[in-house]
Amino acid sequence: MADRIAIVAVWFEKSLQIGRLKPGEAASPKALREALACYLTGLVFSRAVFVLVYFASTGQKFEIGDAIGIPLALLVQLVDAALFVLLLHLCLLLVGRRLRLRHVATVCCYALGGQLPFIAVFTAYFRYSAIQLALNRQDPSLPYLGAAITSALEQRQDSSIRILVLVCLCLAVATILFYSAHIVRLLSGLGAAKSTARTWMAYIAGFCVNGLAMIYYFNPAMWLLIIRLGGSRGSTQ
Amino acid sequence: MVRRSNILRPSLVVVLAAKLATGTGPQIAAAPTITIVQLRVARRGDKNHKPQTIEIIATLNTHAVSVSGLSVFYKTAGGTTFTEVKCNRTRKLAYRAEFPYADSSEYYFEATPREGDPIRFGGGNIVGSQLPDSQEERPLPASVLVGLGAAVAFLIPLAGGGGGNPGAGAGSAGQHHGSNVILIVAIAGGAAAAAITYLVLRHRKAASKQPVPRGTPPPKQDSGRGEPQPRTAD
Repeated sequence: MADRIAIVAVWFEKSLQIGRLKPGEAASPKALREALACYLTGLVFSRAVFVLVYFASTGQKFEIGDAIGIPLALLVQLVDAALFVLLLHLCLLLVGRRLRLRHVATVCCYALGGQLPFIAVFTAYFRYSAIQLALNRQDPSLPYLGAAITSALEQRQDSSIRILVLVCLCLAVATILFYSAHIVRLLSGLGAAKSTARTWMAYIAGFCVNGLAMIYYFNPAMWLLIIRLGGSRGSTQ
Repeated sequence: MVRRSNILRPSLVVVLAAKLATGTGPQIAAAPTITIVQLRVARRGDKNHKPQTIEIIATLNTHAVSVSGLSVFYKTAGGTTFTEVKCNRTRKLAYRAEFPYADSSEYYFEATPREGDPIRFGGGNIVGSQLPDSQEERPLPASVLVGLGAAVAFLIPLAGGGGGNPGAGAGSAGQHHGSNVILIVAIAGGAAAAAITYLVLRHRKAASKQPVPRGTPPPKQDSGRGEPQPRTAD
């Protein structure tokens, strides 16, 4: 129990407040284990938000079977995170920054552990609409989150929703930019040749390739899981 | 009254496995097919309001089938063969197609799944003279685009502050201060977003539960010919 509280404290200090983290700390021998614990803590928080949104969206009564089933989607997220680390490492090698895979993984785990809960909260409203859309359309390959965002922005009658959507969208973008900047800062500080520009280049390339993998493989897999669990609701929009 | 805990239910894992394997949620779909959830048929005219094309917009429920493309096959009253028209996907995830106007046309849909054979579904006759005029899909409001652009332009330098010179100021007090401010703003923003989201959803739910007052006319059908909806696959 004390260990778990200690992990949450470390997560709060090093993942959420990633600005306090120094490159040297990310390169220490026990850092990877600690970073993984931080990542898992952030993932659990974000999935908890997602489970709440799922039950609010589907209107289903809480069933422990679904509560176990929904976090299966986090396996998809784990594989996605692992792919992102590998892609980033590869891109860093391509731009001539020879960093250890362990160090790249450590930095990414710290950052993603802090970023995920914020993203989960800021995109909760979009996910609510996206899950409803997914259960109505039931095609796993469609971009439900994008459609939910654009349809919320198109709301003409209810300006309060449009303001909420804009605020949430800006905060989500700000979170991604903030944590991306700190990943680049930490990776730039590691290794012999320090180059922020090249690290940014590698980061953007890795981010874009990972985004494509997300669009074509991970998001359809996640939506398929949700559609299978939510079943056929047969409602119309 | 004895209440059984869900955790103690022995068949729980079996139920979950069955759900994932067969997609049996609250209601099970009998066979994998494609259903038309909503169908809108309208006519589009030129400047003189002379009808030129027939616009067909379909919202589908694919029952967990990934669809890579959708086509409409149409045939005019005197024609012998069906002509294919590819559908485009709209922002609202519906499929839209246009084909030349005729007084009477016959049509059906064919979806191309990512795996497996094409699925033919839907279909019927369209009487051109009975169709309503098409309504253009409106673009995003300019104020939204301007607001988003301004916000992103404001955010980029903010994020750039985090990626400063790693050697010089990584652990400096100033950067810690900035980081804390951003963290506090993010947490406050998160709490506010969560609270507003909750209130909006509660308001929506309450609004949807309100009873319809007597004397309210029934909702208008979207189809050009007032066909019953939703329509199921063949």
